Amino acid sequence: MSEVVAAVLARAMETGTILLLAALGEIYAERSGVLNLGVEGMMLLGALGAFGAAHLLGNAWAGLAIAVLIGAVVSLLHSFMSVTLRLNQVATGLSIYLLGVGLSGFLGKPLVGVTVPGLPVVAFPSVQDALSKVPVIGLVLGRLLGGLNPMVYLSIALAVIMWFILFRTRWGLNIRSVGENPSMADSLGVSVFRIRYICVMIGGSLAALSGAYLILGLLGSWTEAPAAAPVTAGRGWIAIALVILAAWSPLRAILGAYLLGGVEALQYTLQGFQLGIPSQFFTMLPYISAIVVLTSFSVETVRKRIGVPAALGVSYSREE
Amino acid sequence: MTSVLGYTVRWERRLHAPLGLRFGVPVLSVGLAFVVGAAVLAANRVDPLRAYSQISMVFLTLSGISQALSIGAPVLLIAVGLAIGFRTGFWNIGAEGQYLMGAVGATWIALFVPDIPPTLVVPLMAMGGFVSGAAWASGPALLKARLGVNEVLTTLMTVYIALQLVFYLTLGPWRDPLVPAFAGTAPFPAYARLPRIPGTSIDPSITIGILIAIVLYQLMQRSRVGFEIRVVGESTSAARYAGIRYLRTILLGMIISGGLAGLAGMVVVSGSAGYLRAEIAVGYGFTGIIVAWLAGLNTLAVIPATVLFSGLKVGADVLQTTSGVPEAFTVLFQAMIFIFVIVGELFRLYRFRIIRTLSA
Repeated sequence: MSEVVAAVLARAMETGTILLLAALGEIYAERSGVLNLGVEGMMLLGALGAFGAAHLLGNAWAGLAIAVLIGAVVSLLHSFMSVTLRLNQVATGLSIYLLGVGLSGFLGKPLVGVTVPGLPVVAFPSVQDALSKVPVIGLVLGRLLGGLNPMVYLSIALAVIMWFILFRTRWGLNIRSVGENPSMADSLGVSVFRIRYICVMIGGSLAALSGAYLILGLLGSWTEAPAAAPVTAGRGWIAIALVILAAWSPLRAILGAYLLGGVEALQYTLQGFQLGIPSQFFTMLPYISAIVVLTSFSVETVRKRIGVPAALGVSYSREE
Repeated sequence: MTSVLGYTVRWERRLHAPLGLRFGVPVLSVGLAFVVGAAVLAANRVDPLRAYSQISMVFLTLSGISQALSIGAPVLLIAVGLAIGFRTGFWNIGAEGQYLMGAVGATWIALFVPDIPPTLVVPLMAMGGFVSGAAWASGPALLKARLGVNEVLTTLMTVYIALQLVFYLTLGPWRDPLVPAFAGTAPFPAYARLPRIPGTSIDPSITIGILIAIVLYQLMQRSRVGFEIRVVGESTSAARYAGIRYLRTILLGMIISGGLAGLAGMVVVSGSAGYLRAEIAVGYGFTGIIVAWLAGLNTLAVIPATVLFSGLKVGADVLQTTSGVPEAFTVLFQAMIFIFVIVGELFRLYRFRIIRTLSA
């Protein structure tokens, strides 16, 4: 039994990490007042760049680095459109999404069937041995603390650091003030444009990193997917829902990510039990739970308590 | 605004966009996409001139035109519906899912409802398609109108749910018992297929699409409902102030856009396909968004925009077989057009003046 629990939890954390990385970036973008609906597109481009680079350079870590770079560059396009040109942020996000689908499908064609070095799983046998002596939960702990993809641990560290910066430093205060009341922040000498550009860039880099982790850490191969359902399978959109579930807090995003990751992980376990329910209904679960999350957090009373950034999605200009 | 070398750009809101810009922006956007597309093709060692002449050949051969028309019908229906939906400020990006559910509804009537007089099957399928698509869209619409749930996310989620539902049906209860190795329904009987226009291989659905586009254009321009839809899209609070029933209007916009996407699904399963399979989800729902946007949300302008896009799609398919250009080139091309159109929108809304600032 504890083996099953360990496997489900491990899988929940590993799939949840995809959502966590993307959501952490989106939290920064949205805290600064920019709604980036292009997360899915940036994930796709990150996945493509990482896969291509890992194949050419023979190193998964180099793939991750390239992905971060690509995410930053694509973010420049998004912030130029949404911050400088003040275009409707739903339209700009959608355009990045479509660009990601088109470009990754177009350039990814030669990568179908190619093999790449994956991200190594970090294993600490001594830790696992020591923890396995703990009664009842020993095996589970050992698996989770001593044998998962390194990105799981890195993303937790990142979440803590990003939480600290956002809520305990001057920079974080500036970011939040720009997202709450840009004209006030501006009058106090905070550069709204610079902060929004930086935050969108952090968002894009992490979205791309999330795509890179998905392809190098979990999927392992590039497949030609139809435009209606690209390889990221809507996870970028679920990550945007996760931001709301996390109430724009990097720490709460960790729990939310594992919760939604758990929904995805559970489907594989439940399928194994032969319950007689067709697998397609399990595959629907992450999308249904995202809708449930969105709905329950849109109720007026909840919405007031979680504190949506007041200037989210609103362009800023000094003149108006 | 920040000034560069003592100059800044001043944004002046236009009251009326000049006619030249209203036509110029979309035309220029498409032109620019062709230029960038040529660079992308050249970078992939495909001669852009040859590629583009192959694409334009689509419009000159009978087989090319009839292929483009069979793609054009669903794209036109989806884009016309979305143009109305977007006007109400409802960002329905899940037309692909509503299209699939329309196909499911039509298939159910074609194969699984007994005792329908054969002559009534096609009209009932069309109704079934429309109703299923509209019903599928009504969930996100109600959530948005009642609770303010972000419809961009919910409509997109419902695409994935619809796709899984089609997988389930075509692998499970609706699978063709004669060909169990295939995920798909049995072929539709002849009375459940759209009739062909005599002497051609195309069905009349494109003409129905054009008719709907014209009717909806008149409705938007002349009727009270059209007026209400336009006001709601401009400003929710203004609409409430003017006594417009917000919920009713947004639901109507959603029924039209979801329903027409569903009808597009019916047109495909009853017309060109003749069965239900998950492979019918080829991205028409996403193409429809860009077509509607390129047309400036004007249902009449959707017609030429559809001609362009379906010609491009058929042309890109030709390129794929002759030059090995990946199918995704179409999506990339569409994304570029979309980016140019939304940036070009600025020039319709604002006049830009470069002025000298004294402080610098």
